[in-house]
Order: sequence, then C-alpha cells, then structure tokens
Amino acid sequence: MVVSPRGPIHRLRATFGRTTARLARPGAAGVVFAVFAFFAGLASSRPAWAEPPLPCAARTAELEARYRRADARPDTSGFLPVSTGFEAPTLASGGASPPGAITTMVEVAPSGILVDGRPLDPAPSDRKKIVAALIREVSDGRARWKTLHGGKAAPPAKLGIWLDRRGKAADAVSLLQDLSDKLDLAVLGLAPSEADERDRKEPPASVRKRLDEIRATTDAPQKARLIASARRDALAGCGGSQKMLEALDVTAPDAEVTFHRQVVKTVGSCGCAGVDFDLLEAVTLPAPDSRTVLARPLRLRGGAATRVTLPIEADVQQLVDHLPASGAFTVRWRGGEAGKGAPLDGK
Amino acid sequence: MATKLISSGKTAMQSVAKVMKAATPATFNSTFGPVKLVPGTVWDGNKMLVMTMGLTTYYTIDDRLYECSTSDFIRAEWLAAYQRGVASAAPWVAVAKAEMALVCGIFVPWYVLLGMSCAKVGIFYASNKESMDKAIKLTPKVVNDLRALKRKFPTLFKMIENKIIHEIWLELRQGHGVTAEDVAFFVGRVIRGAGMAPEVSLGLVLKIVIQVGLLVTATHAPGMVVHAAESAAHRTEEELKEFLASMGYSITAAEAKDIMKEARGHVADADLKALETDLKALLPSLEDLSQAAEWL
Repeated sequence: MVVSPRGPIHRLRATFGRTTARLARPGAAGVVFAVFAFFAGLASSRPAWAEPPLPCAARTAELEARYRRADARPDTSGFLPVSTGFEAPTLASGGASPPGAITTMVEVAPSGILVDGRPLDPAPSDRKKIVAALIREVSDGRARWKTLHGGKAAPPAKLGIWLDRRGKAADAVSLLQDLSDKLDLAVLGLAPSEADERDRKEPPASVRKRLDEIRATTDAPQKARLIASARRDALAGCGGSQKMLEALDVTAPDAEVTFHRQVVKTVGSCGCAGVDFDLLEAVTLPAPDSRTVLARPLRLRGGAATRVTLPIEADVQQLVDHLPASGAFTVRWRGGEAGKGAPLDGK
Repeated sequence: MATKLISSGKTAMQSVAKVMKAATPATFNSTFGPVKLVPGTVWDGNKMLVMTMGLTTYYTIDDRLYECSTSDFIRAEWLAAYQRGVASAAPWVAVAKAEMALVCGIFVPWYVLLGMSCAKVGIFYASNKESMDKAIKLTPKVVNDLRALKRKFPTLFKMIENKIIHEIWLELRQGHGVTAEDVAFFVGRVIRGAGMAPEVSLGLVLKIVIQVGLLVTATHAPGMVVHAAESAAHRTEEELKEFLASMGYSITAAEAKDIMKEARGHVADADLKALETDLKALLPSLEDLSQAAEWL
C-alpha cells in the first residue's frame, strides 16, 4: 500500500491503494518526493495545515501501536527450532519462564539431532551414543567458553531441548532420563497463540512474495541484503529515512525499539508520502503468527514423589502437557508392554 | 544480553585462533526465518564472525573480541545492512572450513608481525589464496632445508644468516615439525620483514646456495688427480670469497676453506640442491604476497 503524495500537498485526504509493483523510482519520482518533502517540512511550522491528513495520522498511529506491541513481547525467535518439518509442542501458559539461562540448544527432530543449530556429529545411532555425544558437545562448549573468556570457568550448562510433538513420549523420557542424570535440562515449547487479532492480516501478494524470498534464504549476507533492500523500498519515497538511519546506533541494546520509533517519526514527517506500509510492516515487524518460546525445567528422577502417569502410546505433546511446573518427577506408563504400571526407570 | 567486549589485542587473537579451528556453521531462527552463520565470514572489511555457541555469538572488530546474543547480532546486522545502503553490496568474504586451520594459524603471528586483525587476515587469505596456499605448502620444506643447512653447513649458514633469517630462526619452534604458526611467522617475516623484499632476503640466500652448489660440484669432477684437486679447491675458495664479496659478504680465507670443507663433506646429501629447488619454487609466491601486503 502506498500513500499518494497528492494528499498532503493538496491538503486532500491521502489516497491509499494496493500496489503490486514498486512505485518509488529514482529520478523524476525522487524529485517529486523531494519537493513534497520540502513542503511537508514547511507544513510542520504552519499549524493551519501542519497536521498530516487523517488517514496518514491514523495509519502512522496504527503502525506505532503495532511496533509497541511487538517491542513489548519478548523476542524468543532465536530459540525456535530450525529442523525442516519440525512440529514444536505447546507448553501451557503459566509456570514457565523465558529460557534465558539456557546455554545449549538441542533439537530432537525426525530428521536428526541438532545441537546449537549444528547436526550432532557423527550422527549416533542409539540412545547411549546420543547421550554421550551430547555430553561431549556440552563439555567441548564449556572448554571453548573458557578459552574465549581468558580461562574463567564457564557458567553451569543448561540444555534446552526441543522434542517433536509427534514423537513417542516413551522414547523421549528414556533420553531425557539419561540426560537428566548428568545435565540440567529444560524442555522447550511454544506459548499458546498470543498474536493480537489486529496484527493478523495477510500482506498483498507482492509483499508476500518478497517476504517468502527473504524467509527462504538462509545465507546471512544475502538475507541481510534482501531485508535492507525491502526496507529501503518501503520508505523509498519518504525523505529523511537516510538521515534517520545515519543517526541510529545499530549496536545499542535497544536499537530495534529506537529504529521503530524513528520509522514512525520519519513516516509522519513525510506525511506518509511514498510509504509502502504493507512492505514496511512486513520487513520491520515479526510475523504476526510468531510465537513466544517457553521453557520448563525438567528433572526426571527414579523414586521421585511426583509421578506423571501416561499411556504407553502417549506422544511428546501429551508428555509436555503433564510436566510438573518444577521439581523432580518420575513417569509411570499405563498399558502396553513397557508400561505394566512400572516407572520407566525400573524402580 | 548486551554486547560485551571480552578481550582485545594479542589475547583476543590467541583465543580466536584456538576456538575457530573447530568452529562449524550453525543455523538459527530469526524473525525472518532460519539463517546460517558461518565462522570466518568477514564483512565491512574489519568484522569477523568467530562462532556461535548456544545462543551467544562471538565476533571480532579489528583486534577486539565481542560476545552478544545471536538474535541481537542478527538484528544488528540487518539494521547495519540497511544503514549501509548501497554499500551493502560490499563483498562478504568467507573462509572455507577446510582453510580454517591454516587461517587460524596466521592470526597471532601476523597480528604480532604485521598488526593485522583476524578479519584482515581472512580477507588477505581469500584475496591471495593461490599464493598463500603455495607458500603454506612449500614453507615447511624450505624451513627443513634451512635446518639441514644449519646442521651440515654451520659456517655457511652463519654467514648467510641475515637479519630476516635470524629472526625467522628465533621464532621457529625448535622441534622436528613445522606448525601452521611457524609457517605464518616465516611467511609474515619474509613478506614484510625489515622493509626488504623476499627477493632480497631469501633471494640472496638462494643465489649463494646455487653458487656454493656449483663450486662444490666443480671440485668433484670425475677424473681429477690429487694435486689438481688441491689446486682446484684453492681456486674454488678464492672464487667463493670473490662471489660472496660481490654479494656484500666479506669472509676470510679460513672461513672460505671451512665452507668448502663442509660442502665437500655433504656433497652427496643433495641438501643444497633441495634448498635451491624449494626456494626457487617458494620465492615467486612470497614475492606476490609481499606486493599484496604493500596495499594493506
């Protein structure tokens, strides 16, 4: 959606229209927008026509509100699993905290096991070997941490584990039990859907296409270039965006929040002229369906007072649904061969 | 997690050299889908991704080592790419996994010798890959040849041990092998050593080795009778003195005699020939690197 520059210049309501192609062109369009920006700048000192027309003000306010909602949510996108076709379990709301203390991320997916985004190497075949390999990874990681930090002792290791929701709970418990004896564990899951309905809107096809292209690229430099290019195009007709960028300290902890504020300010100052809101929102905000990651500490101990009873054919989602909020627990299996009412640890 | 400076200078280079050897690419999720972070990637000419570990990313800017959350690192890079504008098309350089150990071996020596940061080493390596690979491959041979020369031709070695060779020798770890770091010290010292081009420092050694080899071979011509051999040896020593004087080295008659004596004792060992062959093969690559280093 691009706002026509006709609005502010002629003191008319800005007109909004869907676009399938980029309108911003260097050259003539740039001159038009520069002239527009000049007048818009004058406008700011003349109260009679200083206010951007209502649609622009409303649109800017909406953008600002969306940024505010996004900035208020913890960004846990880095914790999300990356295995293709992985189906993450959902953790019930409450009783879990953001997974801040996790030092190593493990994904147990049907396609294989990933440790910190790398395939477990060499790919072990049985559970004992998997456990040994994971423990070795943790130990190597701690050694590397120590080297990088001038010989200081590494912080205690805490594994955050993603288990595919469709996996067998019994297999998961066996693995977790072995790991739980040696390492601090937390099971990871998605928070129940929390997207604001106001943020749920499908972008136009042209924007969707660009977004899909960005998401499909895993190459970091290429991805950075595509995002930068889309952001530039979204504000191409809006004077002042370059100045805004130059003033931005990208390494500051709140750089993203500052960037959002500055975008709103810039869009407002150019009266929404030449701003492709659909593209802008798509490439400056997390996807509306993005979910927060939660972690639940997990300690499987034979003979623990807390017992979780599950049917032997239970899947990982069922296991996750029954995890206690804290403390050690043991699992009893109901029905089936391995079950017979006995806990998996045999005690 | 805010960006934190962990270390700087030689300490940072040492840490990076140690951990990067085993660093492998990792895939992380972001607000715009998965992104693969490859250790050894260099961008903006002075930044290098060292590794990602857990949810933390380590990177260097010049000779400073930083850590920050991977999500923040990725976000900051996207903002930076946007900020760079048209310059965002500036090349990113990635050191291949197979080359990582070689490049890591260069970090500390070249930081010490040439003041080059990790990123600069990465760029230099990538831009001069052919010459670098050749130099890295041939240097251990030349070092071992020089070791043999020192052992079997001590008088000659002492004479040709110019400033650069002397410094290289001091830096080489005493042992049988030649480590990646030893190679990097050798190459770094030769390409930027004491303002001398390799053709002057090692090239001179090559000329002397060739001439000594020729003189020794001449005195061992088959069918030479004893008195003729003595006379030829004397003549050879004189020629050696004259030749070395023309190269800027003054030696006494006794030294010339010792050099020829040592040479004759090992004439069958082919050490001089090996040094000549290996130096001839190595010198062009070092010359290329020396010229490339002038642009740093």
